[in-house]
Amino acid sequence: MRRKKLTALIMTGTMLMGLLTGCGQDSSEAQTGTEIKAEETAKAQEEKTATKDEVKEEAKEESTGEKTTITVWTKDRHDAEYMQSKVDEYNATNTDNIEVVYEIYSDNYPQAVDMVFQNGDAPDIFVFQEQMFRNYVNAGKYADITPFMDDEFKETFGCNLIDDYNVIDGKCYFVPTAATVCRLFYNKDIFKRVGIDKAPETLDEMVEDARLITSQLSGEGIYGFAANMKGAQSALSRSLMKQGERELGIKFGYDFGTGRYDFTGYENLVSAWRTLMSPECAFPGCESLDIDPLRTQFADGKIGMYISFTHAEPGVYANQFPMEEEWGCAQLPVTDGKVVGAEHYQPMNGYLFNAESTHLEEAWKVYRAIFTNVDVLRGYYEGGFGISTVPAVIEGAQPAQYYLDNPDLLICDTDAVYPSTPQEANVDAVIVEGMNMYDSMAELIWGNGDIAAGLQDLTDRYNTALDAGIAEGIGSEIRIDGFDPMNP
Amino acid sequence: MHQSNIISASKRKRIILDNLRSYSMLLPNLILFLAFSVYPVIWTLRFVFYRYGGYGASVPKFVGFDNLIRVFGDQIYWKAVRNTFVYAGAKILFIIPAAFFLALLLNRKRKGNGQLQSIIFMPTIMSSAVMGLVFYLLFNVYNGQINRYLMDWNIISGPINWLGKDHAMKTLVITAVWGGVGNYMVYFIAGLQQISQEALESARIDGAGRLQTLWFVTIPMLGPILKIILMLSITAAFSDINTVMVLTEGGPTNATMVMALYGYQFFFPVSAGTSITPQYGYGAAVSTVSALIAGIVTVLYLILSRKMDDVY
Repeated sequence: MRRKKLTALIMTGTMLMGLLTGCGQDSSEAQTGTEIKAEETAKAQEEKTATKDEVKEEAKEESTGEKTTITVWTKDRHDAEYMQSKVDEYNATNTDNIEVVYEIYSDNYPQAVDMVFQNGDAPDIFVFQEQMFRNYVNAGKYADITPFMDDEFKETFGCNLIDDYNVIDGKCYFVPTAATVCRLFYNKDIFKRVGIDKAPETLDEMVEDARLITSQLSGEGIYGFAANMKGAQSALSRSLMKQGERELGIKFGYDFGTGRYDFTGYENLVSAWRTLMSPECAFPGCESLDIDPLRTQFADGKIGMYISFTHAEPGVYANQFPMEEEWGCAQLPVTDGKVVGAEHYQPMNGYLFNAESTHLEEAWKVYRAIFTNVDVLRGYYEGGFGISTVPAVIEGAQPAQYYLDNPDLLICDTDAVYPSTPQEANVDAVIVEGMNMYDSMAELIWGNGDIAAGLQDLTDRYNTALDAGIAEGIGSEIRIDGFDPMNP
Repeated sequence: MHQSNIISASKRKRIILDNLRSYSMLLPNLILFLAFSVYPVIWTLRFVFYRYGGYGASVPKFVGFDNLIRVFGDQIYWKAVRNTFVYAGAKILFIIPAAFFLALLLNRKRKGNGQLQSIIFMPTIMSSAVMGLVFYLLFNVYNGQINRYLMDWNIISGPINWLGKDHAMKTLVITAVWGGVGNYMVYFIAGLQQISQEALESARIDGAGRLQTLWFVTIPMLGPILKIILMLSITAAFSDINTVMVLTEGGPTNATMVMALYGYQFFFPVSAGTSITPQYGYGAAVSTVSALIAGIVTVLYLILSRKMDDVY
């Protein structure tokens, strides 16, 4: 009996220790609590010694001028080879005793940033991402880089400093060096087959072209238009909303001139999209289509046209899904071809600095030598990894061939950066009851409900939410007197 | 008197020691349970009453019952609740009989049954992401194999949009049944092996046929395990998120949105291509109401299924 009790006690102890040490034990390796305790003590002592050694190593590093490590996080894979080669080159040649560690976190990048900010292990430099920037800029997590900027930097990158975007209250947090914008991508061979010699410029032309392609070629499995409607937000934020900026001068339903939401102007666009998504125009199965399956079908010559971002598509059809037929790129069609507002382009390739980094000066040196080095940026642009927005880079550069073949891929006079809408500035300030704008518009596009009534309801719900946020003191009306949507 | 006191004292000591030993055994699991189940639940319940955009985004702000009021007025959420009931009902309706008959067929000692059991069980251990991708390739309207076979065999004249809003839920149920039937089959096989052979033998001696034995002996004797299997299938169907997430992401136009996924998307992006702004407070409110609904359904089921415990 006593033996039984003893065994039970030992077993309990073992299980408890296993739990406390945070690791399970295989039954074949069962140990007593005392043994584990002894091991734990030894391990702790070893760790203590190791920590002391590390501190000594660090001290030695400082005294002997050993290398300082600067960690850089990115989410981009398409330029990984090019950027890594530049980092390697810098590591091999720099005389500042700096070693750059370049790490790629392509999936769930904002979540990875959340984690490191919580556990205090954040890298020195992060590539910019909208959500992570907004989440942490007010919490003081990013360093103001204005004090580091010299005259040469300001002269080269001055046009990329945008108030209320990357410069907030006089503090600059990142400087974009490239951009992406949305355009219509079309298969030139399919267009030629049905007798169309140019990309559509008006909404009517877009619908008619799609209808013609589907009516003539659907027997061969070729259809006029497609959209990645598996996720309404992903599909419409890159297409219909962008058409709305050009057609109405309104960003995500928000009119900066009046300081109110107004979706009623989207009626023509939604109506055209209803036809575009109908069987008379659309590639079958758009409801469940993601962007990559859509691209594979476009590359396979099954889709006449679709809308997407300019930074990704050229590389996709050159490397990811090589396309035999010729593709083209055009400005987004609007009603009667009348452009009222600029299209918002998304600045890219900005780098944020960790405000808690102990090596900010070294991080800045790395940033200047690699990520804002005009020669590196020129190679980036010429290699077709991104569309430069830095005049010093564009001047004298030989852009990638597909930029020359399709000048609409580049940022042009009818593209600009809009201010943030109240909901973009603070999502908590505009909490909309019911469906958001993307889901509501998708419902209307799929033929559920009257378009005019649906858009009026959307307008009312967004303005009610806006007013509630302002009344609560967490939101604010963003109204710009004399707002010019062509020059927002 | 003195002796009885001594006995009761030693008895008490033994009881205390026994209890101590039992609780010591329970402690490791209890700590894990508290850390990974109870604490997150308390965390979620707390944020039901706050507006909070996640770490770093904003300071949690107490908003009372605002989040709950929003849930009750949220049309998509109630559509998701309806979808959850349709999904759960259809899944259980097909998966339980299918699993039971597969168990009946494969429980016999026959060559190849072991291998067949393994093959049918295999989807259970398959990654749901892979499963979703495979089913997308099978069911998509433009080059899916299902449509091709159905048209080759002249069953349909034109391709069916299996993932369109009219058929997506059916496709989802087919995927879920395929993915889960092996698991329930194993439970049923375990139940069938518990049935006393004497009872089956006496039924046969009394002249009962195979169907009569199945109906009057086997099924009633499976009562207690059937009750557990049904309860597991109900809770699994109400909290199923993986199949929906990888196959339809709740679309098209929320036609397959289920309440668990609806709550999830306020915390994390559903796919890599979607960016979200977290709304932890509202997500917590949605999850809490969903848990209550699932809880009520489970309790109702347990009340209604009391009789199943009575084994002949």
